Amino acid sequence: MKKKDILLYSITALFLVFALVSYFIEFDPGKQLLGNFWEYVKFVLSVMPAVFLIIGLFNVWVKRETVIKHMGHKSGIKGYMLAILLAFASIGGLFAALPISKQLHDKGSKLSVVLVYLGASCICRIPMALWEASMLGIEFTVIRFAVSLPLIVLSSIFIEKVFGKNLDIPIVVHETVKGK
Amino acid sequence: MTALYITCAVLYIASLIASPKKTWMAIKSGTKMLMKILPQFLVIILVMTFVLYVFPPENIVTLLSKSGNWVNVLVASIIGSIVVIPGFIAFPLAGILKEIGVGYAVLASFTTTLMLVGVLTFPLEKQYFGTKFAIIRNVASYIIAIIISIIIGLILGGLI
Repeated sequence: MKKKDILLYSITALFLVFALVSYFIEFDPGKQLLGNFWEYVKFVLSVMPAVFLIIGLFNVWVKRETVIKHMGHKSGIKGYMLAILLAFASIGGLFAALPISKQLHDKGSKLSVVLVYLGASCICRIPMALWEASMLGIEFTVIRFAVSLPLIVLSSIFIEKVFGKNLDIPIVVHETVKGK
Repeated sequence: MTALYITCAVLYIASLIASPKKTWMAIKSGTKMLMKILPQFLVIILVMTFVLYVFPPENIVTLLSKSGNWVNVLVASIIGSIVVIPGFIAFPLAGILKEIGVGYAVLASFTTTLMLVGVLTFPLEKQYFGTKFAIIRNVASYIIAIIISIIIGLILGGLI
């Protein structure tokens, strides 16, 4: 384990000790923090095992050439549409979208497509949109989608054109990609 | 969430039939990636916990029910960029805001920045994509969110 990871785990452990002690001595702020923490953990971590297991499958089964063909530099408008369709079906917000888009990037998807997926999966997920529509009205959600998607695509293309060459994105080569 | 796990199970069954060896590799690779990012996840959740404690959702309602819509669009965008609230709190909260008469532009500004701009999740984004990417994406996202709010305000009303 890396030093940084040990530190991060220790911080979490320290908090849990504090929270549990507060729970037993009825220290209200600590109890409330524990409650909040638990809600978030449930929210974020409950979907993560499935998300990462699916990323694992993607990593092993989907060839780099396939991703390059459909989402790479020559993919054109189809690449963006594919990214948006993927995003529609996504779940879990940024926490899930980041590792998925990183995986797409590592497999040869071009930057603007990655950005479109990332942006669209944050604000244009269908399961989430249904919820939003029930609270804020279907009109609101439809207009928000119609306005957001072109903006996301345009800004992603813009970012790729202007900054694409020097973003220094860390490249991870997964050993499983090469097969054994 | 159930749908997600069912999808995951179906995919794994298919994979298992096709190649048990590759399936095992998929499990290993997925687990490895999750374990690599888990400590970062936990600490960000911890920070989110404290932010939610210091600044509970009720305060957001109080804050956004004051002052005019233009100011509120900005205030909402700043709150939305910083806090991370799960959907099951965020949307009912937006519903309450709508009930008390907060304009559509403000609602759009709040929900869009909430989902798209992540100050607290910045370290996570940095770990995956590097600092430059994270800064540029978040700044661009913030600008997009403001444009979306203005257009929604113009169409649905509630800007002036």
